[in-house]
Amino acid sequence: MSTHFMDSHLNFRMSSRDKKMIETAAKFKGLKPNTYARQKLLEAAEKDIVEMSQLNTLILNPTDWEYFLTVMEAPVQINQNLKKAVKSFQKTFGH
Amino acid sequence: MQLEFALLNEGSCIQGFDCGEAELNSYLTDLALLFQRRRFGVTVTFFEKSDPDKKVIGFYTLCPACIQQDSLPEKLLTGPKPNPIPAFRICRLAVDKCFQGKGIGQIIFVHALKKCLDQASQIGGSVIVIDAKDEKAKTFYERFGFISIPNNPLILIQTIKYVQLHFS
Repeated sequence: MSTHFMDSHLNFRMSSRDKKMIETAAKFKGLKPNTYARQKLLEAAEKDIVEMSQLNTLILNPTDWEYFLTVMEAPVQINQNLKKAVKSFQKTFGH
Repeated sequence: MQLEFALLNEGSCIQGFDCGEAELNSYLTDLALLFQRRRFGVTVTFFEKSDPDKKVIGFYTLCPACIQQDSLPEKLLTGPKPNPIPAFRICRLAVDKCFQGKGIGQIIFVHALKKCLDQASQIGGSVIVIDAKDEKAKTFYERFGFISIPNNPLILIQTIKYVQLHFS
């Protein structure tokens, strides 16, 4: 939960049915509806951000990073399995 | 078998796809299109040319990615490599159980590599990263020269220049 000053707004409309559901859930949790909604939104936002950053960013520790750089710098050599697979692909799709 | 491919869309025949891995099945049926709509990556589907229903028998998801170090040592700060390094990530690849063992997986895999190669020549990108589902998948990618990361053995990497060599 954020401990920053609440100096900004996020405005949105919702159906009375949805609002009622949030109010009921908040009551179960012993929270005010606004506090409950803010808390749940922040949890969801954090989860989405973490998921997406993990998906698109590969973070390596120093050992793996050194290894990675070695792979990057290594001279490339033909791999016969891949060569054959590329030929098979070209036969299938013609490019 | 003649294969065709298409970008995943609302009309793709994906119901009933079963690669034997529940997580990958539900990814295709529930998440892949959402993922694509948000522009996080694209999913390319494959089907038999002769199938009028164009039932999907395999797919892969490719997304832009970057590789970076969790803390950059002093000695690398002046090195020649930028940090982070632009990459492509093959984050999902699967073939329906009924079509496994027929070489379709490797054709789909090479299709993904070709896409990376084409994109790299247009917008840059120097590495391909693969998320292997398990040891069996890891072995599959290693056969084609991909190298697993020591502390993340189910993550494999190879350079675009390596892939390019095999297409030239």
